Amino acid sequence: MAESVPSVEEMRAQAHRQGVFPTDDDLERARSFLAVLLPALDELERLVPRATVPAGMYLPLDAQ
Amino acid sequence: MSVAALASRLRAGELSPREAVQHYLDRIAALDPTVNAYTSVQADAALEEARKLEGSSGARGPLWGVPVAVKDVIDVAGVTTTAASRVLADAAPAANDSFVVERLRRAGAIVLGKLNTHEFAYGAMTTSEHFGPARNPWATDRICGGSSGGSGAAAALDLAAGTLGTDTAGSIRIPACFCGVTGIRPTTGRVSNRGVVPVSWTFDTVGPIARSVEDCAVLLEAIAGHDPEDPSTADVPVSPYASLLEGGVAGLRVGVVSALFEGAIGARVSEAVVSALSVLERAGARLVELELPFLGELGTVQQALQFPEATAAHLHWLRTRLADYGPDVRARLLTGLFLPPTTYVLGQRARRLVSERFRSACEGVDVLVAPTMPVLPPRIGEDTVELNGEIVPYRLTLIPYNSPWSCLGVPVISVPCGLVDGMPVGMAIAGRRFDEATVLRAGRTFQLETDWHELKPNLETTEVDL
Repeated sequence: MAESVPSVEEMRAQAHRQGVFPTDDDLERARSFLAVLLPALDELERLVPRATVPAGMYLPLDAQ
Repeated sequence: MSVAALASRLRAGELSPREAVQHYLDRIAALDPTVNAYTSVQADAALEEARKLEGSSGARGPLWGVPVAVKDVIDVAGVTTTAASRVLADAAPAANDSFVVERLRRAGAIVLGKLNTHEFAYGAMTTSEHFGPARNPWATDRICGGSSGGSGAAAALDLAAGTLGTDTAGSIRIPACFCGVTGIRPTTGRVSNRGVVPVSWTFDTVGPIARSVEDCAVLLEAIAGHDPEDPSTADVPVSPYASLLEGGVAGLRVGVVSALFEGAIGARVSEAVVSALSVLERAGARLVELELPFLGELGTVQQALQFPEATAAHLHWLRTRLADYGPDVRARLLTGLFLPPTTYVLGQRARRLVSERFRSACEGVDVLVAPTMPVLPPRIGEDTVELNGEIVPYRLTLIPYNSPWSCLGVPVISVPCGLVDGMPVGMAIAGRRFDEATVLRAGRTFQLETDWHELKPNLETTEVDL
């Protein structure tokens, strides 16, 4: 994955493409979440073996 | 008064449903202005419901005449579900009861009103900009936790005999812990979410918050069960929880999650939960120290799933009502727009992996025990807490203690187990999926041996006897 934290300008354009129009303050706050989350997701991707298939949206009954 | 004791008195005719409802309405009028637990009180409807019950000759359910209240993300027919947000403040009243309110009414309960929540149940503070903060009955300058903060405050001050909250990433357990009451997050899929405003479909779970394990068992028994109209519910038989409480814990194998007793936890909080463990041990439980795999990663797994799901659930309003959200919830919801497209699938792959590894690691134990929360509640208006001399972000302290049980979808109860600086501390007991009975029995045994759940906040100065 190795995603870098996007700039406010990139985020604004991405939001507009999805029909959402946030302020710069909104984007800065969201960016602070991304600054923590994206490196953690990179680390998670490294830990999960490539052969691991997804769980279902709802855990199966035998997942005790 | 406990749910069980109140129900018994109502059945015996020592008290009428109208008297019970009026008792709680009087308490709400006297005490709620100080804590702001309720977003709305349906006094007339509750009294009318009580009058109808009194005139009915039909069978009396286990909660006949018992006044309850539900978090304001749970639909009650005829009442606007606000989710404590401007976005829904002027929405039309709910056309139907949610599944859980249907079940409560079928058991004979009377709904008093709707309880304060973090906006859209997406946060752990319960400091709604629209309705104002719910205040902790143990120290009104502090938060109740959240997102079911109103439920925690109402249970602590006996502003309803029992309450319902919802839990996505700790939202039942955190306010139960901070308000000194008992709350259980049932197995994900044990209780229907039909008629409940979603945060994250994968994790959302309705559950009771009340004064004791016994009360939670009675309430859970009423609301649990398969709902053919909610694909997230499982068709697994519901145990008679209230009648399975008294078996004790002799021989019960209790896994102690060692990593959660050290490090980023207040030293005296940890000591209180260690002391609680010794109570279970004296009652015959066998303590086994456990090292659990991926404990540090489970917060990330939950966020990989929760951020996209919450954003998807709110996308319509993000496009049309963005400015009506409070800034913290708005920022969380926007974050989901900017995650890499592979995030959600990575989260589900990781969830399968950790579920399998956890199952292997826990084969030798019946329940797991950890502190519910590592810190005391922050003061209203602050988003940091003191942790062993350092100031740290509150939201980061709660994730390692709550996301593991949410990610695994297991039942987990928080029981009060001590006071630190006059504020309640909680012990979390988690079990195998769909084995709420063992979790409740362990909690009940602890409450038979201790009286932490009997303590009341000093705020309670107005006694209105039944």
